[in-house]
Amino acid sequence: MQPAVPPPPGTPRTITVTLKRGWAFDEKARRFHGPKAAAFTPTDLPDGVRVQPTVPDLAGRPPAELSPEERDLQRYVQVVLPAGTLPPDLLTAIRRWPCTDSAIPGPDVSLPAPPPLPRKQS
Amino acid sequence: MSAFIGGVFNLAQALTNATKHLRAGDAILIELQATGPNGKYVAMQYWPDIFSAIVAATKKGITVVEAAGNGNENFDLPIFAGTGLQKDSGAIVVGAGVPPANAFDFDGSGGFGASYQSIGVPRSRIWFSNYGKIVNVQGWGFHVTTLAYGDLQGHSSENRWYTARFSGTSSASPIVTGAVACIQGRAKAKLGAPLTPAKVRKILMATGTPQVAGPGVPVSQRIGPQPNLVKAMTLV
Repeated sequence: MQPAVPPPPGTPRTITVTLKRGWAFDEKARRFHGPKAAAFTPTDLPDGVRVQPTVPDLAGRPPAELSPEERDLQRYVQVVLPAGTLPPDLLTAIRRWPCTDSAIPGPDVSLPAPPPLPRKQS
Repeated sequence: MSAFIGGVFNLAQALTNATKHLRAGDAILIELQATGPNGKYVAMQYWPDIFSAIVAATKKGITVVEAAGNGNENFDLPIFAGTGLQKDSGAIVVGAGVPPANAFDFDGSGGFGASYQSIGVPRSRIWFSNYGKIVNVQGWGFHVTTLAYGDLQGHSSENRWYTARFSGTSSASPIVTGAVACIQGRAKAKLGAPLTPAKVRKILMATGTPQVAGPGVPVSQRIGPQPNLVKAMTLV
C-alpha cells in the first residue's frame, strides 16, 4: 500500500493536450486556429465533453505581450470528460487532430500521505 | 490555493494564479501526486502544462517545492525520457527519507504501515518514495507530528486536532518548504533581497546530510540529502 488520500469523489477526468506551435483554441467558437489561417473544429467528441484552455487568462493574449514561459502555457488545452468516460476512450482521436502535438491522460490527483486515521477523543 | 477550478483539477492554472500574486522570495508547495504511465504515483511535473507553470514561477523568483510522490517509482526509467521527470523545472523535488526514531514510533502501536524499526535506516529512502536524478533533497517521510486527523489529540473542535502519523512525501515536502522560508528570510534580512530559487536549492543540496543506504534501498535510488538548516544558513 502506498500512502495516498484520494481526490474528491466525482472529480472529472481530463486529457492534457499540448498544441502544435502556432495553434490556439478559441473557446467561444469552439474551434482551433492555426498558422496560415488553418482551422479545425473537433467533431469526434461525445456529448458532454468540454474543451477549454488550461490557463484561460493567457488564452486570448497576443504572444508579443507574454514572456516565453507564458507563451508556452498558451499551448495547453484541457479536455474535460463527463462522468464514466475515461481518457483512453478519446486519446486516439485527439492525437489525430491536426493541432495536437501530444495528448496524455490528465492527472488523477491524490495527496501523497496516508488516508486519515479515526479521530481520537480526549 | 485550490487546484480544483470550476470543479476540474487544473494545477497549471492554480500555479499561474499563485505566480501572479506572489513575489520573488516567496515559496509554493505542491503537495500532490498522480498516477503515471506505469500505474504508479509520480510527481506533478510529469504533466507538461504543470512543468511549464513551475518554470514560469521559478523564473519569477518563486521557489517551488514539490513532493516526489509515493509510487516507489524510478524517474530515470526510459519511459520517462523527454517528460518533466527527467528535466529541470527549477523546483526543489523532495523524496521521503526515514526519520530518526522517536518515542511514539518505538511503541510499535501501528497506524499506517508499520512501526518505526521496520521502516529502515534513518536518511535512507523509504520504500514507497519515488526517486531519481531530479529528486533534490529528502525530508522526514514517516510519522511526523502535525495538525489535523486527531489521532494524537482529538477534540470537539477540529481546530485542535493533531496527528503523530503524517507520512509520505506529503510530510517530507512541507518540512523542506519551511527550510526554504528560513533561508529566504535570512537572505532578505542580511542581503536585502531573496536568493534565486536555484541558489536556495544549491545551498540545501550542498549543505545537507547525505542520503544513506538501507536494506533494499541503495543510495543509487536517489532522494538526495536531508537539509541541514544550521549549515545552510552559513552560506546565506
